[in-house]
Amino acid sequence: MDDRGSITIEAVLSFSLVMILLMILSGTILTVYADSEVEWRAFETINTLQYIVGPIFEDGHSSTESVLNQSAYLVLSSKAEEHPLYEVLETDFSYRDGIYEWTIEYQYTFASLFGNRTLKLPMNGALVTDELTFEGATVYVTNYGEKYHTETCYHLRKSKIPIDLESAIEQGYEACKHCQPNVLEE
Amino acid sequence: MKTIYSEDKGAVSVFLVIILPVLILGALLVYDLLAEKGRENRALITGAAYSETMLSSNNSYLYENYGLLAYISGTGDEDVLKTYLIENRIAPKDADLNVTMAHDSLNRSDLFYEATQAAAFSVAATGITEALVEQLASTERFKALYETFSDVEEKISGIFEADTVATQIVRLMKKDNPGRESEVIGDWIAEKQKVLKAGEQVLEKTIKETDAESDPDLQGEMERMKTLLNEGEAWLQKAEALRKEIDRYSEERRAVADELEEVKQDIREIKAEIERRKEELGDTADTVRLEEKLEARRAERDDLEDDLEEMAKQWMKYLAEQNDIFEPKHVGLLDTAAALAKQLQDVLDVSFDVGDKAFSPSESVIDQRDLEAGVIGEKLLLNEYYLAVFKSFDKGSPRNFDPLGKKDQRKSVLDGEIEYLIAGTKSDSMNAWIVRGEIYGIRETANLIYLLKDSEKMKALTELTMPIPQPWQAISFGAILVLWSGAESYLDLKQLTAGEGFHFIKTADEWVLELDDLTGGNWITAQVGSSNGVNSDSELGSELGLEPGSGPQAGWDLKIYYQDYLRLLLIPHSAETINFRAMQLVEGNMRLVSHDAFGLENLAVSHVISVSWYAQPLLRPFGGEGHYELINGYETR
Repeated sequence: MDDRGSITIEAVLSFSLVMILLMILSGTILTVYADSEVEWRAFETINTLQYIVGPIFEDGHSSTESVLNQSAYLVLSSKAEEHPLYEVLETDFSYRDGIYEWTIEYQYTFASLFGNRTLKLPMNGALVTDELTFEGATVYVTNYGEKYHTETCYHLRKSKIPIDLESAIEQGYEACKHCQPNVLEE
Repeated sequence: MKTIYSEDKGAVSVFLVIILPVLILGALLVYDLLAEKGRENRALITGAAYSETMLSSNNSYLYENYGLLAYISGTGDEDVLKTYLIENRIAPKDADLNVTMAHDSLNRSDLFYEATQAAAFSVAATGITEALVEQLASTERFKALYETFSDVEEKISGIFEADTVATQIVRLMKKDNPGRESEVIGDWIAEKQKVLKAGEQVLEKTIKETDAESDPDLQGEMERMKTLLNEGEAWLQKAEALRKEIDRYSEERRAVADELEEVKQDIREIKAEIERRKEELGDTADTVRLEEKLEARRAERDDLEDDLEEMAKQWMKYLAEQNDIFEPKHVGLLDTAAALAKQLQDVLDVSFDVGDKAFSPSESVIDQRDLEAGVIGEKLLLNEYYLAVFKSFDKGSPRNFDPLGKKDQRKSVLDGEIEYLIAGTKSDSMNAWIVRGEIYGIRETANLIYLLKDSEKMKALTELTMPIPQPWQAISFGAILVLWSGAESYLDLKQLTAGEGFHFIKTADEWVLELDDLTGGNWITAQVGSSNGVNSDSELGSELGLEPGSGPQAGWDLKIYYQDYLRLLLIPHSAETINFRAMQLVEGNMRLVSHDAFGLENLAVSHVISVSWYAQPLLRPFGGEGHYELINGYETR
């Protein structure tokens, strides 16, 4: 009788552990599908947003990122409700290398080996211009910087001094890699 | 005896030690395989998102000046994408990733063509409504004028066969007994009366269909046709009167001739009688009475012959007074117009088919390559686009629309860019010379037609050349006619380039030169018009609620301006040629303003992104490589 009781306890414990393990493993496999869903919904959101909020992309101020972030979060969250495999925790917009970057942090709604995940996608308005007009080349420099920028560059938030492009080059300023103003080959 | 180990305890241990690890490994292997697919999907989405950002960032210069969408292709694009791929866990580090981008630049003619087509739909749409439909309305009007001109005149011109009538009458006069010939002429005249009647009916129908009574351009033409009809009627009546006079003269002459013949016969009989009596009776024959009778008859004969002679003189005098019936009233305007139309065709290579599609691009106009490529409609739209974004020499003209608002301020290698598209030389002056020469040819033809339509001017010209003997009169007439239209065409050019416009076939108000001005040499220094077009009725399109294909309405500006001639002259050139020249222009202008730093090769409209990576698999000793290729932008590959 004692032997049977110890077998039952062992079996129950083993079975439970195995079931938990299998659930986690299944969830881990399912993460691939969930990731795919997040990626495609995010891409759809980008395509939707770039036409709707196109003019806002021209702005370049910090409020642009805030507006974009709220819009993108709302759209993606509503899509997530249709596929309850993941939950959007946080989204963030930042301006990097001349384009907006959308960072999405999400987690799975089921057990898996993985915790929170991050996805980063570049984004721009449907029709934005690069500010390169070639004519009447006026660029901008800062009080202490060594680069010249276009009028709407992020780096001009503290100081903004207009200068003729050719003069800027003569004075040794270099082109900002982020906003890529007029560049003359030397 | 109890053993330490039970068979039941062994089953659980086997499951835990052997089966469970297999299950775990199996699950991880499945995950590994699926994760590879997931990685590929993530890489594709990252690449697609980055591709879209590249395509959406368009160069300001091209967009603001030409409406073209293209981005500047930079060398750092691959590195930026690599950063995103690493952050999205495609590959653990840079060394495991390979990203290449091949950009399709705008200096490819097929891509430039596609880019301008896309721009044309947004830029040229506003221009088409204003310009093209007006142009069509003007050409419809010209077509109506030409049809009226040719159709009615063809009917009436058949009457004026003066040579035929003159020949017949001369033949009649030579005959003593006209008889049947007179009837033949009578029948001929009756037939011409029917032709006249038919011409009258055609004229009435044409007036009704074209509403010529209320159309100032057509009224002059209709008056001329009515005058022509009246002259035809009068001419035929004169011909009929002359024929009757011929009959009367013939009757009288026949009567006198018959009488003369009787008298001569009498004289012969009397002479014969006198001879017979002298033979029978010798010298004693009493022939006194017979000889008296003979003398009387001879006197009568002489009177009758005098009468005949007098009648002939009177008849010749009468005929001389009817001289105008032998002179053709009709100067062969139809033949002249046909010749002029041929001249216009030679200038433009335009098929002047006035049937269903007069003055619309026919197959003979469009380059065969365009026809085969099926790009006729696109070409017309593109022509409007070129007129919208490129400069021409008629700056300030009301028809010179500038939807982007940049045309006049933009720096460019040529001032006459549209003229360059048409003429293709690198010199502004040469292009202007060529284009103006072609416009001059068109205007000369149109002005010749106007002159021929204007009866007063024709009369003045006829009076001027009347003293000159033939055949020099006809030569002088033609020479002065051509000179007159040529001088007017020269002034037309000055007006057009100054921004003025006028109807294709001018109205009386628009005509500048009179014959006195021409002979006095005043046309060389004639001041024409003001510096800019002033017709404010050219605000068409949405303001008038215009529907494409609708006909002329009150208030439309139906004058033709310099831009319209440019529009016309662009048509015969192939889309390929114009596209290539437009490319040269944009390239040249861009290099000019960027100090040769940027050209079309720096601007791309599509690209191919190729991504390869390696990510170490979780369990497998093989696999881990991934690759995809993404094409985005204009799909011309």
